Amino acid sequence: MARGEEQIGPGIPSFPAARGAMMVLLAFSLFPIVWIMLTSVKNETAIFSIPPQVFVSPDFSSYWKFLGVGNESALRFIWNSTLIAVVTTFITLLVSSLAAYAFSRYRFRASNYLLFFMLATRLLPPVTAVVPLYLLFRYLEILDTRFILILIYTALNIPFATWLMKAFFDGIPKELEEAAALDGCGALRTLARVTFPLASSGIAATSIFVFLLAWNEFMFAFMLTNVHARTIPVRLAETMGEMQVFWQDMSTLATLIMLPALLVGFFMQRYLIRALTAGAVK
Amino acid sequence: MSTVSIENLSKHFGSVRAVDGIDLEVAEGEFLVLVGPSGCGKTTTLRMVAGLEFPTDGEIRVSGERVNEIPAKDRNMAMVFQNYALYPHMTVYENMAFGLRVRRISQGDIDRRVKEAAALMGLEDLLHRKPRQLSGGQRQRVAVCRAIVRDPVAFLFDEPLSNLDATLRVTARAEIRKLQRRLGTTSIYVTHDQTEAMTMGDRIVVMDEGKILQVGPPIELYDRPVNRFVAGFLGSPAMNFIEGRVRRAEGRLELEAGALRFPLPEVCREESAYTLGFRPEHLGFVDSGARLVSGEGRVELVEPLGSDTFVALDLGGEVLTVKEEGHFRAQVGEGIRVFFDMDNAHLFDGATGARVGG
Repeated sequence: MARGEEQIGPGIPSFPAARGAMMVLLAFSLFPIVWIMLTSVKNETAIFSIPPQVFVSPDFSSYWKFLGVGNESALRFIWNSTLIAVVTTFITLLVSSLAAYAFSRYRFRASNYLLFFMLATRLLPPVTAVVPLYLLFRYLEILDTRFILILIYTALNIPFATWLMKAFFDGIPKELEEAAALDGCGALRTLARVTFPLASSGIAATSIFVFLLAWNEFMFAFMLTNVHARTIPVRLAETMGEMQVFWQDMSTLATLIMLPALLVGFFMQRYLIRALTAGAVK
Repeated sequence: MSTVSIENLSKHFGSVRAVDGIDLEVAEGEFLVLVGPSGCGKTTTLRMVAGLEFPTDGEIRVSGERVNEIPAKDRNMAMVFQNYALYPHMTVYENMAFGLRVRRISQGDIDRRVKEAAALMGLEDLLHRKPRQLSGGQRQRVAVCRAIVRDPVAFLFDEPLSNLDATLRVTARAEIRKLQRRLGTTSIYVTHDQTEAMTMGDRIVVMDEGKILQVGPPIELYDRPVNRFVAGFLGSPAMNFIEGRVRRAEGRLELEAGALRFPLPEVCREESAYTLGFRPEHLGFVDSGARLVSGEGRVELVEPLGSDTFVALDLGGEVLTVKEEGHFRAQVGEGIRVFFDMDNAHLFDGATGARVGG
């Protein structure tokens, strides 16, 4: 590398103007997030004080309210969201990793069309499915259950997850599986001992994406659940009352919702970047 | 120890005949080299023996037993891949032990066999490393080691040296050959490198367009190639070819090629096209008496290798390569007389390329 010592990381330019511009962009994108977090520990007075106060003595009351067991507890919604996201991730990965493997390794009749067709299902805006699904689920009397959200999220995520995983499987040389075959492995053992272990970073990255998509989803959860299966993003929306917006409640819940994404982003960014660029460069 | 017999073996990919009805016998303990240009079907043949491809037609037998329907995992063959195909998530030890574990061999036996094989290839100190921590040469040795540790019925090599640099390739060549002699395991080795084929094979199989052109010991193929393709493929630098027409002059048949006239045997048909082939070592700048034909050429390029010198010579538009032993001084552009050794000339039919006469 010509400017090896100046280069501070991949893709971070070393000349001052570009660095300055990046700092501005960074501040611009981080500001709302930081402000939400600050707002979550301010009481009404502090929130509306003019000029705005940046640092106040923190008021964690709304955290205790939502994370406690009282009337206003949000634990039920967090539990719903967690359960739905985890089960969705599990089923999606199970189906899409095997599908992606097949697409990557086998040529069968119309396999390319099928692969495209899977993705084409995502061309339809999901909102167009809301009314028919509502009617269908009402007829089946399964509205307001976690099951329907898991079903919808899994269906929405499988095409995307399959494409993502296929890129990872494409990157694993076929010779490794042939070597395993000559070493005496059948198809399943080859998958279990060679292919899937090598695709583990891809599986991890895909899981994160699927989990976050399911965790953040709002529209279906809002339309198709009421009491029992309500998820945390929907509870967040409810902080906007008809008469009043509960700003501290809203920012507290928003912070809680952000936490998994932030943690995942922080600890797994290596995998995420690999997932996004998989197949881009050979 | 095993034999491998191939009978009328074909493999078609759609309308492409990758392998087109070949017959081949590999004797017990033999080191057989399949050589040919890319796309000649040599790798497909090897993969069919391994069980990684299934034949369209024909039969493969190992020690007399038909294996066409037996999947790769049950054939107990070992293969060394061009890119080595070491399992990246396993250590060298695990890479070697993997095939043994799958076959449910006891841990004690695995340990003993892995260590024995590692000692044989000088890999004892690398057993705990992952493949990515090894050099290209070390990876190649691990790949060979993984093959031998299993004690398979046959070794299959798919261009295992083509990713190594030139120096390493020469040592690895000798290493593999010595190892195979010692173990006496029947081996099939695929390469596109004629030097590898010549130096390693007990016998060489030259393939082109899915067919076998010639099978035999290296020197036999070098000295008596059955056609122009084999003649041009084996030997480095390649054989010189001179194309011409047959004329009768003063009662004798001659090949007329530019200003040159070469005497021909009476088997040739008058007015037909023929090709004469001369190996670079059978051309020279000294009149030894045996060389009946000579021509005037112009030096185009001199390549001194120290032990030999290759001189590229322009002879009326045809460029010929002459090999001279030791040092040879010549100026580029200089006119020089070249002598053709007719005793060692190869004659090929101009239309079919087949060898004519003895």
